[in-house]
Amino acid sequence: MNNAKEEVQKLVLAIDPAPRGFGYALFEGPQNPLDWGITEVRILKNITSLKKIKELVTFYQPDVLVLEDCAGDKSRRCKRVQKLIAKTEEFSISQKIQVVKYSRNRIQEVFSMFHAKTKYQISRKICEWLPEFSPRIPPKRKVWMSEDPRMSIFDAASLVLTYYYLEE
Amino acid sequence: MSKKLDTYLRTYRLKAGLSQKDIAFLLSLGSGSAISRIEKCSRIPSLPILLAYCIIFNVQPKDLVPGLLYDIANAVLARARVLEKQLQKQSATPLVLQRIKFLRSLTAIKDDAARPKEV
Repeated sequence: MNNAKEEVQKLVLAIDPAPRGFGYALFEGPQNPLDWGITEVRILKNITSLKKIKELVTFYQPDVLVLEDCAGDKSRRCKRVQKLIAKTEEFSISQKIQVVKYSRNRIQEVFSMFHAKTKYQISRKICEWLPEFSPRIPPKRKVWMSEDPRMSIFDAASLVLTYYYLEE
Repeated sequence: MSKKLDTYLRTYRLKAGLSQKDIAFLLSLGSGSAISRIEKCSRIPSLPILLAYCIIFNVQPKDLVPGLLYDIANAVLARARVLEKQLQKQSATPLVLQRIKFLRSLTAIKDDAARPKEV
């Protein structure tokens, strides 16, 4: 193993708010996920989510925090989630952590180069690259279904991988 | 595995696909909450538990808890330097010289547990 190369890899954390909590993914290099999962929050969503996000960020002290860019009228995120993302960004900046944001369009542009466009295709592609994510992949969503909570893990992972693709 | 985090216990568990309850059972611990405390570093794993983790994941302690190892290594090396200075004040018998020689070799080692410098 090249130790010099190991040292250069940044610790990158992504948070993806979901209807009942948030998904997150922490990587140290595009092929080295260190932690991933969902934190469920049912009451006082933004207050509790922000508290748990702060605990996560404080514990891991990432070099970079990646969030979704909800700017613009075409963002489909609700106001509550937009506020949560803004608060998360504010906290991270106060902790002197670099914050990078990507829109859903940007993520799709990156993954389309790997023949993955929809969320489901992106999650399958992530599992192909990182088999340890496979047990968490949700079934393909049908028209009448709500989004599976597990998809937020893959949304977070896609944010991190987009970062590595574009920045590293 | 790189050495930026203090502990990689959770990472190895996630990659293996095991739950906290699974690990608690393998370690003969009462519940998954004990594993949660260990993974969040609010509880330092005991030696038998750490060794059991090494067996489960087939890795060395330095791969699992590099932060803990780094702290312990620094503390031991600091005490080694203090002991060396104390011995140097004593009369230079062969035994004292041997002890000083050993302590110098100890403090001269680039400890494997030391974390790489952050970029």
